[in-house]
Parts: sequence; structure tokens; C-alpha cells
Amino acid sequence: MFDLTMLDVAYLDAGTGSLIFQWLIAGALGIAFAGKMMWGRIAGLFGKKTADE
Amino acid sequence: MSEAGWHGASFRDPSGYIFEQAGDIYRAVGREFGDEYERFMASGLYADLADSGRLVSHEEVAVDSPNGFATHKVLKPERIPFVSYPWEWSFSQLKDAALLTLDVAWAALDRGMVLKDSSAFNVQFVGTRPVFIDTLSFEPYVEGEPWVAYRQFCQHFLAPLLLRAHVHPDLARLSLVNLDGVPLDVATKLLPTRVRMKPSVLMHVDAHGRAQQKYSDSAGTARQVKVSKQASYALLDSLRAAVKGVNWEPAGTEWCEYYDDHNYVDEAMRCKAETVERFLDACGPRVAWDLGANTALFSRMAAKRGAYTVAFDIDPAAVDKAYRCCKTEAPQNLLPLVMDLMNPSPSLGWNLAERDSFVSRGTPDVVLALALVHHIAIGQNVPLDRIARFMASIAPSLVIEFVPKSDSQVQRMLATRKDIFGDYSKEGFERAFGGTFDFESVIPVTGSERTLYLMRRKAS
Repeated sequence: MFDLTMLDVAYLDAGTGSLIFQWLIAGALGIAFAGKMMWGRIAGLFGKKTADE
Repeated sequence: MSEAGWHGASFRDPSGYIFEQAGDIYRAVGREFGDEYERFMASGLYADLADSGRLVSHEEVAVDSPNGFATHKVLKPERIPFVSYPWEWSFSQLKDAALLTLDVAWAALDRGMVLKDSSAFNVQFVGTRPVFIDTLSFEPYVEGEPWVAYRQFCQHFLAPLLLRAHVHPDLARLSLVNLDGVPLDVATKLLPTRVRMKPSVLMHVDAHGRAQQKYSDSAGTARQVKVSKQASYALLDSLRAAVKGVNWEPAGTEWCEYYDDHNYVDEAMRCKAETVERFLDACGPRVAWDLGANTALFSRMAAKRGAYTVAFDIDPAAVDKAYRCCKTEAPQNLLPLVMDLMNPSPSLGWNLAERDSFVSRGTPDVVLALALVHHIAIGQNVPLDRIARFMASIAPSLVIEFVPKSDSQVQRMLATRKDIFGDYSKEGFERAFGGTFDFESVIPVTGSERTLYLMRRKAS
């Protein structure tokens, strides 16, 4: 079992649903984020600016 | 302030407490939180955030904390000139506070730390600059842990931003009745379908809110949840995109275009501006409050003279416009805030001591009340002598404008109601205010029927 040190010490109630929901969306968000980073690098090679720049 | 010197809002997080001593504010770091604090300082995160103005700076001082609290260290943070609350911020202020919080959370992850809460009360404004104020909100990051402040961020920032932008700016007050943020199921019910269907809203508000109910009895599962660091960055990135995607343009409300289409002739405006500047020079205020400031035109005169100026107005669009303008203009010692003087921010929270009423949050040297009195006296039926006593309770000096019944603005207010305001005249005004104030200067505004007064509170 994973030892959630932060959960054990946090004074804030993170919300059971919120923690499980994070886990559910983590994969999709991670893939989208990796894609965005990769696109940023590719665009950078061609001198394009990303939305945040 | 409340029990034994601790601040009334300082009890949720046992890692430390805020207290006041001899007029100065201190933060005591609990002995049990000492290791976390030292790791935070050693990680370089404090220097990174404080040097860039994103986190309130502090110095470690040799001051005893009250009440025998087991203290690791006592910090003296940079003083926030005027404490404000999220429902008093305009849309752009709340958005900037949200982006700052995400930025701070990101910087924390970069340094192997984590932001353990994302309360909007952890952000304050110094003029137009948002600054994170909770130095003890950081703990070492543990690989695999989810972000415990995710729900709080959505309730304190994302949902209120969406409601203000897509339902009505006055829904800012929802944050006043829900001090721990707007519940996501409430936000979902209020938002229009077209907004709810946006992927970021569907995910972080609608589905997130449903998950609260669906998994409310799944604490065992929740404790086994593991989220990679990459996914934590991805969550922050997604929230940042969601916040950046919420936009609202301050236009079309009653007062936003006031100075654009108001019937001041140029001569009157010039005279009014010159007189107000002269009065401000005579006062030399360190702190000024402008009540009914609109887009902060006159507040800027006080700010330019070095006074830390808070510009209150009832209209969220005018305040947003003022904030956007002042952000790009020097000096940046001007804080525009939304405030309804007929129903101003009260004392709130546990024991009524967590959030202070607006009048107890500062002691200005001068109050500006320009083109305001007729709105309170005629628009809201408040007797003139009560307005005078209210003004005198706030500041020793008052720059105030009297607008007579013959003025087109007052005529418009009386057009659809019976004139029950027999005392509302220049003489009646001077009688009412003369009981509380001495008149140092009385200047008619050339080209109008208005009069400007510089008043000094009578010694009691």
C-alpha cells in the first residue's frame, strides 16, 4: 500500500472524491501535457511561439 | 485579533500562528513544523518566490510568541497595507490571484516542495500586485501524492471565476457566504449548459463535483491513490489553461462608462481635479480611502502623492477597469476594490473574527467622497447627519462633494419618486456635517452647481 505522507499530515480535507478524481484524470492529463510539451519543442525548432510565450 | 493575541483567522493550520504585538504582525512557526520550514527555506523556494515578489518576504526575529506555543522560530512578514477578501476583488484581480496560486504551486514542485492549500485568502494585493502570504503553506513533496489542494483551488478560484464571467459579476458575493469556496455542485447548477460543456469546465467543475458525491464513502481507496509528478504538473497546467480561458470584459454596467458619458463640462472637471489635488496637498495623507471611486480617477491623485490608496466602488466593471489601468501605470500603490457602502463587508467566520469588517481593516488619514453623498442620501434615504458621523468614524480628514437637487444627476434620481428630502440642500448639508467637522475650505466647482469641501473632524 502506498504511504501517503502528505495526506497523513495535511490539515486540509482534500476530499475523498477529489483524490480519486485526480487519479482518474491523471493519465489523460499526463498524455495531453506530454503532447503539449513535445509540440512546444517541435514548434520551437521552427521558431514558432507557444501560446504562453 | 482574538484569543490570547492569536489572529482570529489563524487556527486551521497547526503548523504556525499569526499574532500581533505592539502593532506589528508576526508568524510563529510551530516546533513540530520546524523541519518542514527549514527544508522550505533551504530548497531555494523562499528566495525564488520572495525575490520575485510572489511571496511575502519575512525576517526571522527574536520575539516570544504568546500563550506558550511551542515555537521553532518567529517570523516578521512584510506588512500588507490593506487586507482584502476575494468577494471584494474584481474579476481580473481574482484571475490574477488564481494564476499566482498556480504559479506558486508549480514553483514549489520544481523545488521538491508542494503547496498544501490553495485558499484565496492566502493571496493579498499590495496595490495592484498579488502576493502569496502564507509562508507555511509549503511541505516537502512525496513522490506519488496527489495535490491535496485541488478541490480547494476549484472552489476558491475556478468556479467563482466562471460564475462571475458567465452568470453575473455580482455572484462574487457567493464567496462571502461560502468561506471555503463555492461548492462545485452549486456552480454546476448555476452555469449555462454551453459553458458546462467546455472540456475544462466539464472536467474540473462538473465531473469533479460529481466525484465528490460518488466517492464520498471511498476513503480507503482514496488513501491508495497515486499520481505521478508529471501528472501533478499536468493538472496545474490544465488548471492554468482553464483559468486563462475564462474571460470577462468590464463594459455595459451602470458606472463603468461614467466618466466617458457623464455630463461634466470640461471646465467643471478641471476645477474639480485642481481642487481635489489642492485639498490632498493640504492633507498630505499616508493612507487614503476613496469611497465611490468609480474608475479611480481621483484616487490616482492621492496615490501619485505617495498615499497608499484604496479605491472602493460598488460597480465590479468600474473596479476591474481601474485595476487593469493601474496595473500598467506607476505608481502601483492603489488598490481598487468592490464595495457596496449600503452593505459593506461585515465581520465573518468563526467567532466573527476570521474576516474583519471593512471599516476595521484600516485607519485612513483622509476619505474622498466625491459625487457620492446624493446616492446615499437620496438614493438610499440615509439622513445627512448619519453620513457625517460615518465619515468621521473612518478618518480625521474628509474631501467631500455636495451635489444639489438642481444637478441633472439628482434630478434623474428624483424623477420617479416623491421628494421627501426637505433637508437636502447646501445649507442642510453644511448643518449636518458642521456638527461633526470643521470646514477648512469650501470651493464651488466652476461650471457646475456642485461644491467641494475639505473638512477636519472636530476634536471629541
